[in-house]
Amino acid sequence: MYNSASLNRYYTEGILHITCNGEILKTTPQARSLLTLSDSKNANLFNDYSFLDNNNYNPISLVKIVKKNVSYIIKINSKKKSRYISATFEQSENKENYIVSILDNTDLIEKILEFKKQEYHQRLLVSSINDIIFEVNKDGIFLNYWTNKPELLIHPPSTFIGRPLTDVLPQEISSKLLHLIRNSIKEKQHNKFQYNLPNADNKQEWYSLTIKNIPDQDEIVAVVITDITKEKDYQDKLIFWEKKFYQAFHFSGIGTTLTSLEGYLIEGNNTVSEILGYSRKELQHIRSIDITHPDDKAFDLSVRSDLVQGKKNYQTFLKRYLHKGNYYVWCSITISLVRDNWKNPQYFIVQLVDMTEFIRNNEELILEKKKLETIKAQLESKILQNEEANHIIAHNLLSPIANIKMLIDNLKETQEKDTLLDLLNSCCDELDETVADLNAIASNINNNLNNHEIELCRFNEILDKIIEIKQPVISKKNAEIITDFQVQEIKTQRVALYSIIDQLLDNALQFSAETRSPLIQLRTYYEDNEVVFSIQDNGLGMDLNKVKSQLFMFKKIFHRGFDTKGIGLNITKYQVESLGGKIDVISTPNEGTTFFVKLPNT
Amino acid sequence: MQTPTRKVVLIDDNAIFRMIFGTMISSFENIEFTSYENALDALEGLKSSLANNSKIPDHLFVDINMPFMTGWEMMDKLQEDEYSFLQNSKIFIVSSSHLESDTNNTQQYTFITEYIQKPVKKEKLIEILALP
Repeated sequence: MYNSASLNRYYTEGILHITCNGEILKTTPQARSLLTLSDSKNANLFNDYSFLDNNNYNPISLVKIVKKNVSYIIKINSKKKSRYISATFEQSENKENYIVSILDNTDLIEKILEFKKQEYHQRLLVSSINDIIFEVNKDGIFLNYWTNKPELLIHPPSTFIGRPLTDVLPQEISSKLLHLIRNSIKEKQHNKFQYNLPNADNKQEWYSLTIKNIPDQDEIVAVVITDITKEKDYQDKLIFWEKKFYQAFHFSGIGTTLTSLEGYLIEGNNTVSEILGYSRKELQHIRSIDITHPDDKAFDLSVRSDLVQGKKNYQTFLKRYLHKGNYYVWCSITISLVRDNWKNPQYFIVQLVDMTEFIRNNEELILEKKKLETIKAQLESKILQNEEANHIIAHNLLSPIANIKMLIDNLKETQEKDTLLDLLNSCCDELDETVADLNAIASNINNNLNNHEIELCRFNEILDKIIEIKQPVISKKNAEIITDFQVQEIKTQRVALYSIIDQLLDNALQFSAETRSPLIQLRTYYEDNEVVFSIQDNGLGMDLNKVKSQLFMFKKIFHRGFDTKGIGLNITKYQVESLGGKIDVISTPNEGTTFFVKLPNT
Repeated sequence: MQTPTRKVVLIDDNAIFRMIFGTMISSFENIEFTSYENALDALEGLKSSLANNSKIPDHLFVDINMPFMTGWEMMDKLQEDEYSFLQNSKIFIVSSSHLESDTNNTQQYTFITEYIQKPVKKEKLIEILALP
């Protein structure tokens, strides 16, 4: 039953006799060894072993589909190394059984499997690239190509094969390429260049061409063509942005700097130099804090410290820099901190805007506004004066004139002409007196207007003089005068100030309560940058709800039984206003009155 | 038959006007004339005349520009309850003022009969005091 050929292969080939169901009937010792079969009884080839297809090496089940004269591979798994046994099935004489010859093919099959694996990986690799790879010989003939993206070039790569590159590429590209191919072959090195071609839509497409020499090949190179249009676009955009940033940084009207954490300049634009007067080189050796106004240093440092500590992302504030020309420039600065990937502070970005002119204009504006406010106040006071003049005409001047007219009417009818003539005379006297009072006020105003000289006036000195003159009244009334001058002196018109204090003290002494000795308290203090002079008495007081609107007006009398013409406070009001000040009053009947004179400290 | 006596009160700080006004009033018959030189005295006097069962004034002439209390302040006072006894008196303002601020004020006090501007003509007094 065994032929000689089988015997010749005795040492390597094993023979088995099996049923059509795979039950093992007989084995040669070699077969047992190959199948690592210690006891052939009850063993089944189909059930006990795994089979692979001889063509594709995929696992296969042989239970029913075994074909005669066909080879399979038995895979024997072991801990160390799998073995692959070729198995050829032949039908025996009784047709029910098979004779199987087996042979260890491990080495060969392992190699094949390795190749298969490599081929698979190469396929993966090729399918993952979007380039076209050509094989080109030293004469520039396209020999072969690989690609996953045949539409990459304007013409399909298959049409290149067998043709010289001078046929298919523009002349300037083909000659350069041919030169580089020969160079690569000669020098055994890679070469690379980029070119662009218009596509069907007349849009420029960019390609990168890499010539790679192939090891052990002296005649052929690989030419890799890559579409780099997108990269090129991206690169162009990057260049554009970089250019934009450069423009924004260097030609900006805003001074922009990168400064180190210590405050030295790292990079800065021309505007910074224009604002500060120092060149970029000079600024690299000057700390910004050293050219900061002393009053602004503490805040500047606190801002930088806040940024470093992460309390803020940025801050904008005004500060003064010392210009190289030794004067201060106001800048609005915006400062932010740049950190590295590990959040460590790297440098500050400081943007400077020269605000000097703005601030100067603003200061002028504030000054102008103040002037306007003064003018407005003066105008308002003039309007009030005008109203008052109307009032004086309506009441104080027209009243005696009305009387005169009535007297004249009566004169015509009466016998008592002498009496009426006397009354007429009285009317004239009244008119005369009103005109004289008006004149007194007018001359007082004129006097103030002419005495524009502003000098340093000490409240104490002025009061001492007034008290000296009023001493008889003060003694007679047993008046006590207390002073608390928190503001010792004021720059103003001396005569007017004297007259104001004199009049208010007069009033305090005159309108005293009979039941108590006059206590007069004079104070000075600052309020809203202005000087307030106040004089408080414990006298009769007034119901201001009734009299306040009239208090400072011409010929108004509020207390009975006093020898007064009612023009004192009227004059005082004019004087206070002529100094640019305001007069106000609080009062409680039977408790006392306090006048407040608010004066600008010019 | 004798006409009933009417009472006329003038409140004005100007002595000359009080005198001329008094002279003009004296030419009318059956008129009782009183004058006050300020509003405070007048209010006092009017109240005491009520207490004395004296005649309530039929006509009150009040100046505006007076010390201590102006005519307008007196008008405010008259609105208080204690002066309700004057509700049937005709009240006139007499003033030399032609200012709108004064004439307009009249409209605030509906009980004021008229604003008479000085000088006061005799014809005006006849018109006011003429018998019905």
